[in-house]
Amino acid sequence: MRNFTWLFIFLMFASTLQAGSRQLGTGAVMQVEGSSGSGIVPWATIAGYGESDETDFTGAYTFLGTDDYEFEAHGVAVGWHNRLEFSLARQSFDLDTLGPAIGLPGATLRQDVFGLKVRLAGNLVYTKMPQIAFGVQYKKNKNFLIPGLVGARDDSGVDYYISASKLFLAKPFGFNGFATVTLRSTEANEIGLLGFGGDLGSRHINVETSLGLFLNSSWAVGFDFREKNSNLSFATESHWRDVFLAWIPNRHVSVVAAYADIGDVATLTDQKGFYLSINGSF
Amino acid sequence: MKNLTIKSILFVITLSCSLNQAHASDDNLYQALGGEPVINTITKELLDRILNNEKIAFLFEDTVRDELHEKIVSQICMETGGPCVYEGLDMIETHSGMDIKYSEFDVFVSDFIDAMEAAEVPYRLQNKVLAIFASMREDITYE
Repeated sequence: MRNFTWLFIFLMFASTLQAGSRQLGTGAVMQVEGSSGSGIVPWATIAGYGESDETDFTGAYTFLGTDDYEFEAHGVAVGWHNRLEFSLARQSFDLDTLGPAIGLPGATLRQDVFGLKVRLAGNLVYTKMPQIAFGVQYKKNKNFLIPGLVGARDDSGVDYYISASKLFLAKPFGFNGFATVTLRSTEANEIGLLGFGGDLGSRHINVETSLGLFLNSSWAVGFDFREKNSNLSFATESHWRDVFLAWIPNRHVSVVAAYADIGDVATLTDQKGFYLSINGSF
Repeated sequence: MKNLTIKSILFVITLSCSLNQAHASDDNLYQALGGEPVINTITKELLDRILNNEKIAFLFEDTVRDELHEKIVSQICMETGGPCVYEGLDMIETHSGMDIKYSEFDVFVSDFIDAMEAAEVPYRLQNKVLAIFASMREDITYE
């Protein structure tokens, strides 16, 4: 509840200020690790709506609840001149079922993610070539007891990714479609919540993709897919996927509701649930 | 050699057919928009916005509204495949020396979208019009 109060104050504050001048929706939303993108995939977009002489700030709160887990993320980001993006996200992952089962009721995995992204070329809307960006996510696990016990090697790690994103004006059928492909090099276990590396290996290159469509100027639907690998023999990881509905009434607010399937996580199978993310920008 | 010539001719024919097809579908866009009356309304709404928008109004200080109106109408008409010929300077010449920034271009596009909205142009037709003008960004801006 306290989260929502702060969020409300933030949104009230945000809407009194100016936002950048890029077109509605082109700032995308904050993904789970704090970078501009969709639910689980970083895009080549720079957070906020700033163009080459503008700087925007974004904040977001994200929640995902499955049968056995509760995920939360608080993030802030600054998008500088539609060129650079700095972000910080604090994630928590409550082990509602697993904690009590292993004699640690109330156990929570925590991680901080520092992100940096640079737009290398292209413009999401106006150029024929896609917008292309390179990004880094430095991840620091804050509660390494459980990750260490299940065999993770490190409590910190760096993800590198290259991403291409494109908005297709009037395609298909006059709607504006959008697509992103991201290649990520990572050694994270369950995006880093279970540490980095393990007995089965460490660094992998994974494909992530996001596809969608604006139904009108303020509503979009889409689909995310994120490939994952297993470094820990105690439990296999599943690829993640979600379908989302985004509402972008203006340049200050966006809300994403999604249904996410994160599969098997730390021995508990078939984790699915609703995802909600609220973003504010100014 | 002869074979190559035939292939070249076929290539040119195919190309011009596909260009004609593209033009035919643009023709539909002009009709679909509602022809000149609607383009007039869009332009009026656009000028009401850009000439009063403090972020970009200064870019039009040296222009006469009626002349600008006429130029924009004929350009939208021609680009959407209507029966008009735009006789003004091209986009590079028109905007040279104005040092237009990307952000100013985007402010103009937002006003253009609002103008089409005010003229009750359906969303999907708005996108088709934007798709034509989006590629002009590099010619219009100076970055």
